[in-house]
Amino acid sequence: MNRKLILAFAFVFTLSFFGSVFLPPNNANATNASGFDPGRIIDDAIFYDPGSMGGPSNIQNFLNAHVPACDTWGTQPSGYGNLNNAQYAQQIKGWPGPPYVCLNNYYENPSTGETSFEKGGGAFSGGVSAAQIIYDAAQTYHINPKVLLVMLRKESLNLFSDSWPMKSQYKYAMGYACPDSGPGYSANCQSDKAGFYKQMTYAAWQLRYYYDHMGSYNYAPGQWNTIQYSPDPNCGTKDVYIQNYATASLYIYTPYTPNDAALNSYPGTAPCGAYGNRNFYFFWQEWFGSTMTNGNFVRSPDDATVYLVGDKVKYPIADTSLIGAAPALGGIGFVSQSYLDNIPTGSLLSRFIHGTDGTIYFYDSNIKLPFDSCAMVSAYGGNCGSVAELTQSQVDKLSTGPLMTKGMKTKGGRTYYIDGGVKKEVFDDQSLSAAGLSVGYNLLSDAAFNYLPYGKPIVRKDVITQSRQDQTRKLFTDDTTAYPLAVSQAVDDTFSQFTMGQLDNQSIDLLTIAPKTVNSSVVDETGKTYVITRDGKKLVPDPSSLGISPVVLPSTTIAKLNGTGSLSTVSLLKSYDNATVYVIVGGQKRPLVAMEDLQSITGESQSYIGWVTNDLINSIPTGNIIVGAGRLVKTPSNATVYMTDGYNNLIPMSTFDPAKDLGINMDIRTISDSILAKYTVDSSVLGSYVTCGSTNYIGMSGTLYKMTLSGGTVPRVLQAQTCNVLTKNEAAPGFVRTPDGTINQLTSGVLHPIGSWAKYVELSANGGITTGVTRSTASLLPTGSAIY
Amino acid sequence: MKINTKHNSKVKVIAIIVAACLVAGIIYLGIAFVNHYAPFVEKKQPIESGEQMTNLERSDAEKQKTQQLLDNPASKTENNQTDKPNAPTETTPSGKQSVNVLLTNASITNNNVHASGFVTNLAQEGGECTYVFTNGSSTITKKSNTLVNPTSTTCEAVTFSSDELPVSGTWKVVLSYSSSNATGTSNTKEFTK
Repeated sequence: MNRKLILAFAFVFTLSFFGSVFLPPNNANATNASGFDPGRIIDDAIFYDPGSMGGPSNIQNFLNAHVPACDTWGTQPSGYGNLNNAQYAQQIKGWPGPPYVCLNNYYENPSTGETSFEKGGGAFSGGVSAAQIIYDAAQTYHINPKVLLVMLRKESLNLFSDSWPMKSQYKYAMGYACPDSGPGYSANCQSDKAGFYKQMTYAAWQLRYYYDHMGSYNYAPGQWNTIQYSPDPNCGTKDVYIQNYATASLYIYTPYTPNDAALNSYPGTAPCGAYGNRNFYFFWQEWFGSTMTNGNFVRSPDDATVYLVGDKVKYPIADTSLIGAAPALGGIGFVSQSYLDNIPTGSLLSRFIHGTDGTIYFYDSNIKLPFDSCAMVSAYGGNCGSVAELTQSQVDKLSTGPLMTKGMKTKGGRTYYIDGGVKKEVFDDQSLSAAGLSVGYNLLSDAAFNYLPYGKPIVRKDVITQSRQDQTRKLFTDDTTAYPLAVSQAVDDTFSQFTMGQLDNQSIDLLTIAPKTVNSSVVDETGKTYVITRDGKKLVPDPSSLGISPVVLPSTTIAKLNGTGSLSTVSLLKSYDNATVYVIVGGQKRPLVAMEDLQSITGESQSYIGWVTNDLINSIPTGNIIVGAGRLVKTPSNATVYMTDGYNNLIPMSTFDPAKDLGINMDIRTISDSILAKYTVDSSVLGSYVTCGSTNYIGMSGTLYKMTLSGGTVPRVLQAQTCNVLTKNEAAPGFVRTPDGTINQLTSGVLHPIGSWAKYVELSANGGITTGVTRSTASLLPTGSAIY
Repeated sequence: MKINTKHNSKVKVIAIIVAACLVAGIIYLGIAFVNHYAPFVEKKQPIESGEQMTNLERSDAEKQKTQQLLDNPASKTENNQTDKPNAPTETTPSGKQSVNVLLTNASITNNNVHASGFVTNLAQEGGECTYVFTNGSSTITKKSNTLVNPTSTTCEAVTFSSDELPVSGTWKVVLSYSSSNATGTSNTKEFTK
């Protein structure tokens, strides 16, 4: 390889190696790296906090720590030949001789102007220490003594660095009243404001004056301000949105904002750099940490009351949700009680704020929503005359939302119509329309409206509301009355087509709540009674049989319930969780023991059994089990067989013959003695001659034939339920076959034996049915003359 | 074979120089690493908001400044970072010194016109400020007093109802300052009524 090439390679390698090492880092975001915010160099809550350092002894301790070891008598080597500092000053520079007084040893008599320089280098009678002077200035003008210390460091001639300072270095220590406005624009210092005490006091006064008269000055918070980068106007300007009084005050005192180069070069200098405000920021960070509080909300360590410090007024906070409603304003910072005490106290902070431009806003969720009139403010319970005034920059931290309207939705799902200082929950848009109202909605947090009392909710008729707090439900039949609605499957099924929505209990409590709960039965104005079943409402043909007290509802509401039709003529009910079917008779519910009895009980081929609430079932007194009328029963302990007559009577039987002729089901059902004991047992046995209603019948081969027997025979009167299950024929049979095989012609209740088959055929040709009878029935019929 | 000794000696010299540079560089890097010189300067992270303290330790910047004064005691009466403005040097035809005037804000908010500015390189009492608002042939003039700052002179801000502006549209604002011995005119700002 060519040697020249090798050499060139080695050279380039060397350069590139060190070049890469020493390349400066990427400074594109240098301002962010330093954290310097030109619009918010320091927060008001820090800048104007006079109590941040405690008493003067703490300031003295601070000076002791930050002032170098003092060479009061100039005995230390100056580095200039063999001269010590005093010799160097006097012989070489023509400066005064010792004592040289360091800041932590400096005393001054404010009345006479005498200082430690004339008094032996330290404390003297009548002298006030620098720490005390700083403390007094801070307290008098309510400026943080840290601010004065930092300004002293940036404005003075090295008082925090010099180990043998001269008196001249104290003369204009705060850079106050020493402008270049003398002849030829030379320094034109005002001697009446010279000296450490006056410099410190006037500087503190000036900063307070800026605060009190900010509107007159060239820089102000809450607006865009044009600021030069440097004392040299050719270096250009920057538009800065100043956020607070403290920062504006710094810019009035030192009217330049540092460029990125100046920020990056700290503690050095840079082209077109300005250093006063840069140094203030960096010096502060070195000594006191952050120049910013956690936020605009402050409290003192001694008092838990939190305030929002607005535009020179502090507003106490009783509702912590007000802090969470404005995260852009930050959290809670700690300040001294003296800082808070010096700020006038306004009314309790509410949701209403305004900035310097006068627009009143409602704030929540980091948004400010402007009001377009004081009437709208009033609708929200506010008063245009008592709204917290914040600085414009505080207001500007919140995003601007839409105009406030009377309609408001919350993230928790509530809808309010807000007027007259109350919030009215709106059930739905249809409810609002029904009330003749129409509004647009904004969406904010629920907490935003905690302060407003509830008003009567806006709810349309025939809807169901559910409490958000306890889930209880109410049926609204108009806009003022609510009926408690029971929890049951039957109710759910019956009201399933009603719109349901949630309201707070506080809203519901403002309505007239009906005393009775809609549960198992309702009745309209005309007296039509319905039970609430699995299949919806069912008309009750005989409400008195149930013995219930239904809730009166408008017929228009009842018409909207699910369900049609009615219960059976005899009500048959069961609950959801029990298989027992009850027959409702005589104001009692009687358990049905066999479904096959249904038809005999209701007289219907398809009986309807209503599934109803347990409450309804439980409200009806329980009676004996029910057996269908005209059924045969016996107990295990006794051979006697009975026929049920109706639902409460038993007729003993001495023979099965009457039962057979009456058409009774011959299956014998066994019941317990205790159940039997609840029946009324007739004293006479069952016969075939009976009365149903007012008609006498005689049973033959399972059918009742209308017939009245002569001879004083008394028929047994049967209960209607029993009669209902028996087959009747209103015409008597023409011929009766007796158990001995004889066929008789029955004429007017008398049997006439027929002598031959041929005669029977002859007679039967004229009509008339032939039926058989049992022996006992036959014995009831007298026998007449035979027919041949 | 003939050996080019002259050429080889040149190569050796260059190689030695490169090696010396490398060694010197490495030594420097070691020292820089220990003492946090470039490129090992510590970049401090911004302090978190609300992190207040009182540091009773002298910072590196303070120590460096003290050392500078020990090294050069003649500089103890100097502070080159106080942002003192350059004194006016130009003279106007009227014989007055030309000062720099900066219009810092001109805006209209909530039906109020606001304007503010100051003389950046003069702290003087007794001068007079004039804000001139123009829109075509319409002109509004507002005079204001001065407020003296440590190194500058504020022209008191003016605020007035926008109803005083006779026409709508874009308004231009200029601030001028005049005293017995100084005069100056500012930059122009605009706002829309």
